[in-house]
Amino acid sequence: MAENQDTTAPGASNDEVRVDHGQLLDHNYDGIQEYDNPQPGWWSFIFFATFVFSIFYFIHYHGGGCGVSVAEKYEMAMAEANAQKAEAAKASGEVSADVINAFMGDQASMAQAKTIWDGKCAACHLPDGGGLIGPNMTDDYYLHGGDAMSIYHTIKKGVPEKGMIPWEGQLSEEEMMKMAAFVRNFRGKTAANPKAAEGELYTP
Amino acid sequence: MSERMEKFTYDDDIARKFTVATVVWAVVGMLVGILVALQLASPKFNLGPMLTFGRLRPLHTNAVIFAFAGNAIFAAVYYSTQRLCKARMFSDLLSRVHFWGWQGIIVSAALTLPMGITQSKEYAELAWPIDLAVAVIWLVFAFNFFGTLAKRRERHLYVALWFYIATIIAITVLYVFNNLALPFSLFGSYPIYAGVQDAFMQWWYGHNAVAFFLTTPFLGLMYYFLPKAANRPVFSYKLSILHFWSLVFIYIWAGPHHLHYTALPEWASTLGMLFSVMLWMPSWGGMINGLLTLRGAWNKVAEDPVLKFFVVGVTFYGMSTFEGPMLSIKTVNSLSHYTDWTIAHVHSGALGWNGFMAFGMVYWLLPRLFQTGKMYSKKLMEYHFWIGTIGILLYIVAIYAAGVTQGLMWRSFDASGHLTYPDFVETVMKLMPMYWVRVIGGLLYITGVLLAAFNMYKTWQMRPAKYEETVHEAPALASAYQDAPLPETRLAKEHAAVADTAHGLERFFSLNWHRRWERLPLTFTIWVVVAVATASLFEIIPTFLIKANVPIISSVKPYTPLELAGRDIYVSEGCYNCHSQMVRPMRAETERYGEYSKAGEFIYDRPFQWGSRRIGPDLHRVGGKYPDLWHVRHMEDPRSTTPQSIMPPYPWLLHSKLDFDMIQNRVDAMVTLGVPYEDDVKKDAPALARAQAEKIAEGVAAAGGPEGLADKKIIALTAYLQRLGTDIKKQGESQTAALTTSAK
Repeated sequence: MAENQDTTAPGASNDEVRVDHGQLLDHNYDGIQEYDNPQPGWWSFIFFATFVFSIFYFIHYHGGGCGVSVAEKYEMAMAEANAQKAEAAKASGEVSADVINAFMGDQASMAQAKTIWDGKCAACHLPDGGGLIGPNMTDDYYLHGGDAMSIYHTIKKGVPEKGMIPWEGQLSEEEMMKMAAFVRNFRGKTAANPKAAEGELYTP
Repeated sequence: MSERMEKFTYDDDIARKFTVATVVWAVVGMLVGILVALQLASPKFNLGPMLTFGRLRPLHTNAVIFAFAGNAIFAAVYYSTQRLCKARMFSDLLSRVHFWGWQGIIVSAALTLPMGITQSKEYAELAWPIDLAVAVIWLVFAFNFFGTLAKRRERHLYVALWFYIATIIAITVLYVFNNLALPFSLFGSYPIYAGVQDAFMQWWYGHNAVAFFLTTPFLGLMYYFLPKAANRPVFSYKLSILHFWSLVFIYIWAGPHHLHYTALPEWASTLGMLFSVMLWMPSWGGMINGLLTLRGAWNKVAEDPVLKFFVVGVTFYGMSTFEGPMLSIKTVNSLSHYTDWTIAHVHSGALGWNGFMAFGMVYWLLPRLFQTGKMYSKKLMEYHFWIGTIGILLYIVAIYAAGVTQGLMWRSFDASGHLTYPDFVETVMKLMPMYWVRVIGGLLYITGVLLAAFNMYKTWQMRPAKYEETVHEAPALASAYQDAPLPETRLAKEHAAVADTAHGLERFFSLNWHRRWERLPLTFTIWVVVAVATASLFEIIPTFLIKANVPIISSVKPYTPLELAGRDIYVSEGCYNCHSQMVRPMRAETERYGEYSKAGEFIYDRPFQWGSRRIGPDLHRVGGKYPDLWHVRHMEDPRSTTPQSIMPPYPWLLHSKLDFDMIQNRVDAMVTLGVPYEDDVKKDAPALARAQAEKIAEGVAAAGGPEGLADKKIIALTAYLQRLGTDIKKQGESQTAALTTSAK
């Protein structure tokens, strides 16, 4: 085979090499040869082990084993989470108009509320509360009630059909009360570009 | 050697063409990569309607996979097949049809994808007429390849050719079945599958595109070019046989691991995971055979940049094929899925394995193809190697960090049981430094590629005035052939008193019988078909036939004509590249997005839009979450509603008119596919769409938004977004409860 003569017979001329190369097969493809080495033992072992693992795993979850399905696991996690939340709600103390009104004058609380407002609320109600997608907060008109507990409730449960998000999943009870206080503080302020009044006139 | 000797030459011109195309498309594909990386680091880099992230990301993936890696594969196949078969390609004409046809397809992809013409299935985005062209050109390639095998002068097929056979067979099957669609216009079509089935088919395809386009042909490439460059025999013939067949059989099953915790039936997802775990060793068989072939040649690695590329390439193959099975384990996947971890994983494969194997091959081929004896500059090759390696490391380390960080932030709860980072954008902001590091890593990598392009150009300038054509000689294969007798088994030698089955087993595991298959390409190919088809059918048939896989939810209704048009805008803009529509059954997901997604909600989704990465939040429950006006403002300028958002702005959607007349074609195609539209929709869908659009536009104007949007695209898109994930809420409580239990 003329075209193979230019390739040196590999394995023969490497005198500096002291590896046991196994036996060369009589295969020769464009000068490429192959050793008759077996596959490494650890390779076969792990390959076999993954098979065995797979069989047991499948039986465990789908062949009458005691594996829990994804949906069941989810229900379990939620039950646990709800218990944790109830516990936390108990610990956070009472929710009342008095607590909310007290927050209205608390500088630190209002600074914290301002951060939340700018991050989460201002997109629809604008940073100065003048309203854009959501209603104006600075006038005396309220769509869902202007007293402390009504505002708190609107924040907590939202008005999904109008696009107001329920915030109870994202804010703690205390944060929602502070936000209610923050919203109450808006009333009477002057917005740069106020949206027209919506809802009913609220007189405290 | 008494047979009649035949004289023949090899067609090196075709290998030259594909090699040059490899380097050219590498530069193009990676330039687009740099641009999309910049777009994620800063939305300013979204440069107008045709150049948003949503439209360019598919261009990047397609260019790198099918243009760069594709041309590299063909260069390898055309160069090595002729030599391994001792025969010129079956037809020079078919070779050229293949080459120019493939480049034409790439160009048409590069034009249509930025225009928003897409099927939205990852790595199968191309529109149906281009799909047809791909199929034709692929068959031309197949015909040419098998024709060459038929006229070969080498009795047995070398392992590289086995991998080429597997590539051709599997890609044909995968490409055709995933792309089956019903056209409704010159470039538009809907897949014949919907929802869960469409998702299943897509990832059966998507994963095996990795398997049979980025793995098997590159293993074939490795088996030819690595021993050639090292001038060493392959470590183990036996391991070649074992890992080839196990790889071909097992890979096909692994697709569903892309759909863990989704509405895909859980058994399918488990199969996907287990077969991925079993795939670990078959993959490593290739790595072992590659690295151990270099035993005794490591001194050459220090001197030869080609071998350096191969060593790092094979090492990255080993790393990503360990990582793949690990990521497919459900628990790991629950953290990694939808994050950058996946992106880091594919880039260690693409930049390390595919990229470096391709460039190793290119550097080995160029001096031979240009007949210059050596590259213009060995030093530049060394620079390419080191700059590229550092580039890969910067890229993947940063993006692994980004993936794990975001995954952990998404699932983090504070002591009161609330999400620690309820604002999605907070988890995006955290990644920005890593995104910039990625840009730097990418720039380094492409710098290496540009060095390669320059080196190639200078080498080309050194070519002789006329290429020499070496005439080779070999005898034709005699029609009669007697296989060498199988060596006696150990049991037989020892006259062991064991059952016949024991003898049979030993004979089977000795693998000596395989030698006979290697001289019978047809038999060999048929067995590849059997391996690929059996595995596919085991998963596909149950997915389509078992009704319980998709429990019916009676309140889920087809999209209205306007919503359908809006959905097609969503598809066309490539929203799925950043937003998933699949809330997984996990507390962190339902707290953030709402009720988890059920299989029955997607029965009218053609194509499915579950997505694979959340660069923005999941959108399956976005319907009704915000007012219409919010969507209008948000699409016009995402920063007006979410100041830190990195989403591209879409102001033109507020000006560009919706083609209402086209809606009838869309609806009619859906009706043909079995969507139960009422008679009024079948008769005059545009009128219904107009009525719905008027109503929404009035509401937007009344709420203080822009006037006169009724005939604009934004209204259709808003209509679709507001419908998303809402149908399930219209059913009674008792029904929901029943579903939760039946969904497992």
